[in-house]
Amino acid sequence: MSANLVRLLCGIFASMLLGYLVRPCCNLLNPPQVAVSGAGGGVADSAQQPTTAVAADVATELPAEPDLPVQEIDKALTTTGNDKEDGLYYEEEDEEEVGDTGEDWTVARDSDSFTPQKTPPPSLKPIAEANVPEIPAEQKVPAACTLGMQKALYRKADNLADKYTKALKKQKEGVGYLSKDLSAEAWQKPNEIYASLLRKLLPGLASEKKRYATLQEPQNQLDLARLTLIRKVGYEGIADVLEDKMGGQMLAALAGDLDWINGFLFSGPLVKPERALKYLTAIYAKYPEQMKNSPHTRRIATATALEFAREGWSEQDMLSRFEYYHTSFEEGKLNVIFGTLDYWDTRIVTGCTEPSGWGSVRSLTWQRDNVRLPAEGYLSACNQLVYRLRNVAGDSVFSADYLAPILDYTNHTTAWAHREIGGVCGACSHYGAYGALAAGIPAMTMGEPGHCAYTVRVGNEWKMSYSIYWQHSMHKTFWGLHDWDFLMLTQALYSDGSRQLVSAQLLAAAELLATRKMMKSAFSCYDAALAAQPLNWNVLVSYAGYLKQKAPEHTARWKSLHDHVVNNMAITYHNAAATYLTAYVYPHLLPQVPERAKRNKMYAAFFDRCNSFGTNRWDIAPLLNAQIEGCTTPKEKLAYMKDSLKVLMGKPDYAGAVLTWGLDYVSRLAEAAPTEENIKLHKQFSDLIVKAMGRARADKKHAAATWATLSEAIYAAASNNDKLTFQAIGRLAMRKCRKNFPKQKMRFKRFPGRIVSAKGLIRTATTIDPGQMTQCCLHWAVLQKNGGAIPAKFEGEAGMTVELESHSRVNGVVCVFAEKVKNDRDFILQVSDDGQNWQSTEAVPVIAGNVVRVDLRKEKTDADYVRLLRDGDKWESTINGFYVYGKPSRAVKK
Amino acid sequence: MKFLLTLLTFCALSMSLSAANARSYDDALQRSSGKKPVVLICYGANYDQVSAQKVQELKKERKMTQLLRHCVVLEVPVYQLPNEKEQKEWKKIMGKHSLPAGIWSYPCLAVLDSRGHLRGVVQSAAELETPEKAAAALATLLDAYDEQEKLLHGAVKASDGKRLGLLAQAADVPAILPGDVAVQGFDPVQVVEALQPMTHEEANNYIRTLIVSGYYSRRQRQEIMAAYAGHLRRNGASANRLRAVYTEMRNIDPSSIYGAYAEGAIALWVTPKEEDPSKDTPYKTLAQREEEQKKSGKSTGAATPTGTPDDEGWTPMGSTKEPGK
Repeated sequence: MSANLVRLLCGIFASMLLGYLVRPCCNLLNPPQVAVSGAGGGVADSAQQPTTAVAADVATELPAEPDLPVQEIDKALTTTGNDKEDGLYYEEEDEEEVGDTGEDWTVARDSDSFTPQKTPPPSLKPIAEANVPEIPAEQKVPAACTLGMQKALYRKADNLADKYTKALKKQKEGVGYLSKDLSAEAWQKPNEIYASLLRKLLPGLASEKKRYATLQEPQNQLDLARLTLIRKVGYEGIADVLEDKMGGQMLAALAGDLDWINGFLFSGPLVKPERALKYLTAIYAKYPEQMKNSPHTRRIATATALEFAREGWSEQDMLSRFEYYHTSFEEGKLNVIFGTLDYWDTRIVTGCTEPSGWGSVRSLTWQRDNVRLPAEGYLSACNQLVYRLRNVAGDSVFSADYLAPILDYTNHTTAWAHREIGGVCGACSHYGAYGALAAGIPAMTMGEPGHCAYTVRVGNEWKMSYSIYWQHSMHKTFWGLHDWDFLMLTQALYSDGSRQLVSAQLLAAAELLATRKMMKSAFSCYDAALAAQPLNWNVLVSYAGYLKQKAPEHTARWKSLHDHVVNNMAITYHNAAATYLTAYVYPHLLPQVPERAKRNKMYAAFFDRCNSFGTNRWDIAPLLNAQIEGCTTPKEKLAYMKDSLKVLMGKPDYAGAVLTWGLDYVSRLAEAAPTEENIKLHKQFSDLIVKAMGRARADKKHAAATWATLSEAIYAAASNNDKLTFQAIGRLAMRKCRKNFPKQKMRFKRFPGRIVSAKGLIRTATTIDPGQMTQCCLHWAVLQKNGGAIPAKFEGEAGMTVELESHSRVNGVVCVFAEKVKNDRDFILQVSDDGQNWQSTEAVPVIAGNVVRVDLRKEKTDADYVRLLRDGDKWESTINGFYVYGKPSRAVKK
Repeated sequence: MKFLLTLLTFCALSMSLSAANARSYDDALQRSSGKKPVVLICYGANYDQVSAQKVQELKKERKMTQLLRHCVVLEVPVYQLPNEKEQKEWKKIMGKHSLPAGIWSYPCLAVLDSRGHLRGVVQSAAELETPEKAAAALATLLDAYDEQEKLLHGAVKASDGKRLGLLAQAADVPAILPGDVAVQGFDPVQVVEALQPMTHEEANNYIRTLIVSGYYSRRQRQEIMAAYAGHLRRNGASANRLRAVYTEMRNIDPSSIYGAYAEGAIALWVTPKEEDPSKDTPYKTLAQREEEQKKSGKSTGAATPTGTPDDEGWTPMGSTKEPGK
């Protein structure tokens, strides 16, 4: 064992020195790959690279140069110029990188849009693997953890977490663990620190027996954090920090304070850590005394530095933001909640978006002093703004003229200017959220389709405000995943501080072992990290990356990972679990499980966990898409749809969602490739749906759920222009829920001919909110004699569109509104043969009370589609009936 | 001697305060009995260090105690995530009531009438900057409250036309009209929409009719002028015409927000200046702005080729004087 360790350390030094020697050559030439012998370690293949072998021997005596980052040394030794082929997958740093799911996530987005953005899951970016010798005993993938083993690991982690909890309590009382063994001068040689710490810590971390005992010691925790810091920042990054006069002191202080360094490394994503260190140094240089003496100052500084580095915002903005929170806190001007925050939630506050505008110090200061409320009060603070799309001068909120004249008066203070003039959902939500943020309370805005809402954390609970839709796209995230579920997951994960810390430290250890090519130990460390905190998204992503790299065909481990997620995360966080399975597990596991029965068992295990929507309604489509992608033939697909319908139709929350997905899927399939096979599948699935819904119970107890499910499905059918399904579901709804439809016929003057729209399809231009979604069957009824209800909106070319049952000669159109129609703007009737190219009719629509009539008898108009538009951009009252009179063209020919 | 004086002052202050102090919200309204205004002293009790401290300072201010002597005073501690004890305390004070809408920040001094309608709040950072300023703001508010009460009392007995005029006057007072008083139905956006199809001349006639009706408060008249100016600006009116309209709008009430809006519009659209928008200037208080206006005269951008408003206040676009004066 000790011989192995010596060899290992030789290898480390060899790597460092070699990097130094080889780097200049790398810049000039494309060097051949340096193969390092695995046997015994430390001795390179002399035939291929004689310099390496010599250097390896010498390296035991000579430390590597301090200005060489670990990564660069490793790269110089191992890279072929293609990181992806050579590297280890375990770290996400570049947010621009596209996920490895094969799906195109990059969709052009309007910067003003509040619509949820489809975000890629964090990518599994490769980093270069250290050129260290391989230890044969370590080159085995250990068997997957059984449930019993997981429980044992959980208990061990639990014991450790208890100890951490006690330590954290002491830290909060100002008695944190400090160590002054590394001075500012010592940091001039980070490579020496790295080597010595590695020598000290690696055996303990690698051993399953000693691991937990090692981590119990605060000094070892600190050393692990120091190693992680150097590994993440690199020698070059540290050299950069040291360039600053106060850099060394700051590093010594940071790396000597366990609470502080843990806050820096393990409080959320660590993106561009070298820049964060620079920022931290800038604060340290300006406020050395406060940084030394006040844990709150260190917390505010670290959180601000980390977030501004992550977002790529300037140092000047960072300093301003830090000073705002620091000074306000010192002066007691913030809500007391701010003093109780941890590093992670301080990052949400001090890292709030928009360093200019709403997040500018000026605007924050104004809100801090003028909107002082208890935390729950900020949920209604949005109402302090008058909702105005156009200001009193008629300027649109989307033009700069909206606020321009008042900006000097309000000293360019965004919040103040909006309170005086008004705003729409974006401004109202920002006002509420930034009011809370200005007071030091975690809050954030969130996008909804065509709307902006916000959320404020009251106590430990995130509460929504100004929300009108179930889809929320959070504007501040830790993992680049914007759904509400991930905010809840973040809250749950970091609220349990000590358990999170245990898993984060085990992850750091696993990654460290991975870079030392100690695969067996790395896997066992990953297992421990997963067991310690099953909700730790970072651990899950890192582990999936490592597994993909080292054992992509280890079915048992993939299956175990699947079960782990289903058994732990899916219990509460359905959306997060589904996202993880879809992005990281299915692409590798499904090809290894060809048997339909086994797959169905897996799928069922997940759906068993989902009796309701969990923390929030979520989009089930990506998960079902990923599952159906595993089916190769249309027969298999149909069977899968049948199975999923069977499982999910029994769950009231999911019934509508699965129908919507199915209808979407088959429609897109038939539209993209209108092959006979796909059209047949479409037809079969539509029949399947109608049959499945036909079995739905509509007795008193189930009537509301059935009605809601049918409504959601009919809306999906209308959205997909699926006339047959629209009609089928409409008729079914009439059969099942007759009580919900109007009983009396509509009264108005008719046109000759029969109603050729009754078997058609109607679409409205407006967004359907969740309340209206449960009433969509009444849309179908709008085309029937007794009438129904459909919300109307006329804006430009958006109005009411009706697809007729077939190509018809149209005699006239009648539209019956719920209320009397104002005769202040003209209606326009257009017809089309394809639903794309429209032609206005010459006949002028006549308004009489609540009825609009268009007489087309003189025009002899033939059409497949009819649409009603109106000048201006106003909402209208509900439409109760829409009738197109005429004769199908076949009849006309006859 | 000094001790005695202090003791006497303290006794006098506490007596003066406690004499008018109410025990609960209902008690305060009852004591008010339509004569005295109710002043709620609301403050953040368990989440805000500044708030409680500020309230203590306010209560020590001499002018404040003098003012509060003529009111019914109720202290309302506002709790964040209240525990059981705090909930009881709140219930004891507020009963089933909640604080009236319009309170946007704590601490604040909210003036209510005997029916619980909010009639004004001293709540901005500028107003509460010092106890003296807060007392001055409260004094203005209480005066305005009295004046408004008289006008509203007159409006109850007046005929329709006169009633609207009195209501408009009551709205001009720097206090909030009670929620149940029906003011002239007015939505500035409707004016914008009505103006849309009009020519400049039609728009001018339409606006003048509204302005001279006497039914609209100063703020409403400014909003009408803003709609008119916006219409002109978007439809290619000359700078002179725009300047005249914005000047008229500003002069209706230079100290109001729309007075500032008009000032800004003149600077922005009529006489553009090259200034650095990022220049950070300190907030101007109302007093500072008034002072500046006094110094510079009120004709910023008001000059027109045909001259500044004459003695009668007439410009080529009509009167710049407040209608009815």
